Amino acid sequence: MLDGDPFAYFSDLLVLMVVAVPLYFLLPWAWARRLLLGLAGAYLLYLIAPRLLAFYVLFWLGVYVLQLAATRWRDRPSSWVLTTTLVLLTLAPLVVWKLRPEWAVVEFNVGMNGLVDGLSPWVGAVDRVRDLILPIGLSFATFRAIDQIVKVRLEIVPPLRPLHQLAYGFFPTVLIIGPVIEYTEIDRRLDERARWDPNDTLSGILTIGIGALKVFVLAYLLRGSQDVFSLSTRSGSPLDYWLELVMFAFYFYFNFSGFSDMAIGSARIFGFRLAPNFNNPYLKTNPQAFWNAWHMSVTRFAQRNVFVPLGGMRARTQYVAIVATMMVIALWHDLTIPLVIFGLYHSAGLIGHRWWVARHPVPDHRGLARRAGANVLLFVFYLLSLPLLMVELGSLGDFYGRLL
Amino acid sequence: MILADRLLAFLHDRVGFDVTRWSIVRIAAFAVAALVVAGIVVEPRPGQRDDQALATRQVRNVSLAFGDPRGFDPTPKGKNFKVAWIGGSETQAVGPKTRAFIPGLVSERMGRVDGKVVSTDLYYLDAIRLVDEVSALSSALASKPDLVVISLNPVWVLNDLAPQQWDYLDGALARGSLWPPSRWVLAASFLSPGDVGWRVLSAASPPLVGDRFEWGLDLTEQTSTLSFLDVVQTPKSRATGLAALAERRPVDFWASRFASSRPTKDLASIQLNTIEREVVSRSSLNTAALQQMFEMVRTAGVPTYFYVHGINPTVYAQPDARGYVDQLRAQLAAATAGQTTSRVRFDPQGLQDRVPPTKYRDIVHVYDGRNEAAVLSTDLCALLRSTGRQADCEAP
Repeated sequence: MLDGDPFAYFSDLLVLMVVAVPLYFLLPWAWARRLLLGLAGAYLLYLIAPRLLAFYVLFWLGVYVLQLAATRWRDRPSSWVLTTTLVLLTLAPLVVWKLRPEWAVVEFNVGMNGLVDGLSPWVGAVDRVRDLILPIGLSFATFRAIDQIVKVRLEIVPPLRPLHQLAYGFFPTVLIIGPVIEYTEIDRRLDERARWDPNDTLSGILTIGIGALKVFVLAYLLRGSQDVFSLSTRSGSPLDYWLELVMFAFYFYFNFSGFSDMAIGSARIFGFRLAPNFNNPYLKTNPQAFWNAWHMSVTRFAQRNVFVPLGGMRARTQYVAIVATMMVIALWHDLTIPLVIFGLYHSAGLIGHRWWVARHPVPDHRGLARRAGANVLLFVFYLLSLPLLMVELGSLGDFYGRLL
Repeated sequence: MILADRLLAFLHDRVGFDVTRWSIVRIAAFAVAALVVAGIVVEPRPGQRDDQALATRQVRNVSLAFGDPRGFDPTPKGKNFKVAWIGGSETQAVGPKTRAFIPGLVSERMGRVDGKVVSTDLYYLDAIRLVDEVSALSSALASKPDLVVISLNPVWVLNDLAPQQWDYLDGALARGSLWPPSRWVLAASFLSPGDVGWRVLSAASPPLVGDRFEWGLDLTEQTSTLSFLDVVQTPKSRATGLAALAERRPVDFWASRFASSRPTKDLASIQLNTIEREVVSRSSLNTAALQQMFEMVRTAGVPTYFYVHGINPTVYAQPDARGYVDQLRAQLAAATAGQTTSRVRFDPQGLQDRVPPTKYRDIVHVYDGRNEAAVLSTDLCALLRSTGRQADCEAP
């Protein structure tokens, strides 16, 4: 298993919180609380593998320097070149990993172990008994880093000071499975006096409980549906495949949104109110509502940093902005041809919906049957895109053939 | 607003429920009480012991199935003379003439101690590493043995490539790691908060949480067939790319990265490379683990015998192999200086020069364990006699 074990991560986080949360509220100094949050996150990465911590220390150190660079030459006409360069530099590790995964993953493990071993042979030896891993959480960290650099560049937030950077980069609840939080979701809380609110604690516990129910009961029961894409070891009629694909869609949702809930609930116990990451996406009736309810933190990131800057709010440029936004969301998962198709497919859905609604306005109050029909239609549209996320290009034809 | 907030707002509006610090305390108290009550009501689920193919009346493998975090299932203290023997595959002798655990052969030769039949619990793990042995020793000492024997595999004992292999045993390190402080360093290196949390919950509710491995097996079996599709039996294709990397054990990956220039065409060459790495690494982590094991048995006051299994005499005859073994002996002597007592014995020289030559399958695995058993039983009886025990040490 190269991608870590979220269950172990959350087990460690929740037990660590038994000590960290009381300490957090007892500490009278904001700097000490920021330090505590950063160290807690760093320790959780260390537990996965010391080499992962070494990598993220270098990564966030780099982001800290890049955000300082983003404040230079702000007022010059060509400053966009610098900003673009900084964003590309931040993206570089992720792009290298996605383009050359076999080389990058081996070099990542060997290089970072070498670094750790050089600093401490003892920790180097501990590191070598940990599993071989991908740069776990890098997709989330990269988007968070870009968001920070852009916000600093636009003077939405001041450049982060070292302890703020530590607390944001290693914010302990969102490190391996998101959501892609914004710095502005936590900045006020990082500076204000921490007062314990039992409402936050209970709400956090309930949210963790709901997440655990989704992951360990509902997703667990549906986990066999992951094999729907194992073309050589599974067979069935087209109806069987459709039903299995529906099961997989729910497995995917419960698993992903459940872990997001656990991350959001854990943050809430510390008093941080992170924005929700899912909002009943399978109950939506049009593509726009769906994408505003599915993995919302990535959608919000793409809206802020791609859709709006490219003119998504203007009639003339809205379609280009939609395609660019969906491509960012799609390629965030991986840099493959099926995901390019995935991005184009959902772009077509969103553009088609906008075009249709512009000509056939939807009444405010639709009947239940109409809403249910729209919901089923949208869900089938979504189901058809799932193989693009999970199946290699060469097997796509075979898979879609089994649905017919 | 997240769902939990909507739920709390609903409870506030409908039944006037307001969250106070006392409601948090009440909920926590109810949760703990429910856990304890469930632990009383629910039937315990004992673990299944692992492979018993080489077990006899006098020796049994007390390791539980792979992945079971309870780790081991030692036999209760009875009327027998109880030996706890910890080791890996080097404790097996599987050849045309014998198929046995070497500890079993030793038990037979020892016969009786103080008039009691020798009975051995073998804490056996394939490819056991030093920190796995610390975990096993922690469980073994809790079972109150009369004698502890610890086999140190010469290929791995001080090798920094793999101080530990089976991380599901990490939780066992929690037991006894609280005191003395010298044990904290090793515990902090391998224990995670999650391990400690599961240990605490297991203690509060043994059948419900402690036996979760058995519950998990049942649940997995009952739910694994929830699918609309049929399973097609096909020959397993060989993994490639990242999938192949995912299947590699860390120890194999790192061994290949640190390989010397010696060609690795057979298992013996691979193992010789591993020993070469071992003497170069001078692992401080494994040294600490070894010293902790000595400290644990000294504190427990149990007669204990550490030994280093020999390597294949034909390999040992090679000058470089001989050189590695000599360096390993020197490192072991330095690591254990001042650690032995009259009740805790270890000869860094190992069994190499004392066991008459026998045939090996590779560098450490023997076909016939009788020669080694003879030497070991002599040493163990001498140790027991020195502690005032009456040991027959004659094969029945």
